[in-house]
Amino acid sequence: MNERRRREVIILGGATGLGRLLAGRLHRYFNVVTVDQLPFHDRPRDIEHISIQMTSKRSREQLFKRKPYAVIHTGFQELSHGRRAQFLDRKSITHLIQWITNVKPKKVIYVSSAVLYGATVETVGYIDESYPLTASALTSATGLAANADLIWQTLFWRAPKTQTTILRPVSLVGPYQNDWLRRLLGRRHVLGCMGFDPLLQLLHTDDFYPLIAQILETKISGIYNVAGSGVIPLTRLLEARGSRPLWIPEPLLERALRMRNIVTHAGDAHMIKRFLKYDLLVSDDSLRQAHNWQPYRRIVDTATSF
Amino acid sequence: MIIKRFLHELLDRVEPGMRERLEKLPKDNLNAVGVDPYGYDPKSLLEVAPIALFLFNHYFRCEVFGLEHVPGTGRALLAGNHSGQIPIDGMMTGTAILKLHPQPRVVRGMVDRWVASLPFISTRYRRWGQVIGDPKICEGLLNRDEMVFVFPEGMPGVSKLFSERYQLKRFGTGFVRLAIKTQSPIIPFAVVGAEEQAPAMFKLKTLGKKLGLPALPIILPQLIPLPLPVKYRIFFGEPIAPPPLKYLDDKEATDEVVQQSRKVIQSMIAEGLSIRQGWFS
Repeated sequence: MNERRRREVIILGGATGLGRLLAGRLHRYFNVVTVDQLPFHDRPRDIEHISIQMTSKRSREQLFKRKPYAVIHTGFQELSHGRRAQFLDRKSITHLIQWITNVKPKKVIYVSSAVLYGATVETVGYIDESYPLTASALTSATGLAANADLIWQTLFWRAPKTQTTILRPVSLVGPYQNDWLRRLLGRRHVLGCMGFDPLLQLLHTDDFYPLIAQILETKISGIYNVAGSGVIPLTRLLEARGSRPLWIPEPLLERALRMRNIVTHAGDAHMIKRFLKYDLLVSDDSLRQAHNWQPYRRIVDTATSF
Repeated sequence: MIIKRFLHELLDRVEPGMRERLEKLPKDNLNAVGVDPYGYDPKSLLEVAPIALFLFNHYFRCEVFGLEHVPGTGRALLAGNHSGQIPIDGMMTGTAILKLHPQPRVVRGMVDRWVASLPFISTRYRRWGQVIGDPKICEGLLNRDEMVFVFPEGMPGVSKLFSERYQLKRFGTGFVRLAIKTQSPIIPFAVVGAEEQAPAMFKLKTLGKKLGLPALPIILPQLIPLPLPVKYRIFFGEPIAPPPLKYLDDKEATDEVVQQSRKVIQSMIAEGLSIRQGWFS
């Protein structure tokens, strides 16, 4: 345990959402350093927090002088919280990649998202990791996130001694998640696209955290989808949560999403409309087969847990 | 609740005992919310069963031969001829197995990709067990020991002109490769009667393309907006065992099974045509 505690794990975007959850869990086993533009006031005492602005060289140096055992980047999750995604900015990523190439941490985990595959009429069946990230063309935010996913993949050859893992989880739900999905589903009357009842995949952060912990302790590298346990049609999900659907005709749905403050940008509304219309199902067979991973929560428990 | 009770009563009236058969359907692949990984929900069949059974019993007066060749459990590819502009032949074949087989089961049909963009229809189709026609999905279903419909003629088969009736179009080889890959038996079947339900005189190819439709035939019943009440005869042939897995990329072995399936289907069509007296009897 003492040896473990000396190992430093840096969590980029660690003050909110998934990063916060990971910090709260991992600090018992690792020397956790959270890095974020926001303060992290109520953090446990043994978590060190660095507030930085990636645009400032002096601020960046605070991070880049460190030599961590592992770096975890919460990637797309950072976007979901509506903040300025400073760790997804192209210049910032270039600096981060350069730093990682120099200090060669043992492990790098980049948390991307399966949402980047984009729900379209073409996404049929269970898509695997080789499917293109078609949502990159939808909004500037998803474009940024898809670009980041691709740039982080360069670590496979830039830093071959570093164990790089890129995870693409399906929609994450959990106590610290406050993204558009929560804003959409967390209401009594939930907007839906009239005539469509898409199948959804959800993953609870409590199921996702053990995977991160497993990666930190074992040799899991590569790109993996993380799909959770099973699928649930939107209507069944609402039934389970005691919510009611509010079916909106497709041409009016984007406007309704913006009026209800689920999202603010037109592009994001367009992406969510497609998510409410078509299935976006991913297969995580490669992760399950290669690393014997499986979530513990049933889909119904996940659906009702937030 | 009222709708459910109404559907129960309707089904009992159309086909006594069918509700019990629907309840007997396998539930191995369903999750905690009652759907399988592709969105199929056996309870939803209650919505479509009264209509399907009415068509089967009274409208098309279906007659079924060789049902003993259809396995009650395990994976299988049901390969047959496709015809009639509207895919009612698949619906009637599935209904035959649901209604008459000692071990009722749902045959998973494949629909075109554009169906996924149709409101209401896409959702209902999926609940009833239909999936988008994609080899990966088909493979996934077979690996879950489901029975899947394949129409090796594809779209040209269903939209063929009246002058080409009962002439099988070129068979694709994909279904045999799937059968080899998943080691599933091929059950050939033939439907006689469907060709005349909506006789197509000619096709508007350019307009169809512009409307994003896979085909736009001009058919006789467009004057009366229903298919003609022809008599259906459905024949099931003996299962064709797939070649061993090592022949997956062997074109010769694949072609041989394609030709064998085609021959069996063609002979069943010939048998059906020989015993019928006309379109409606």
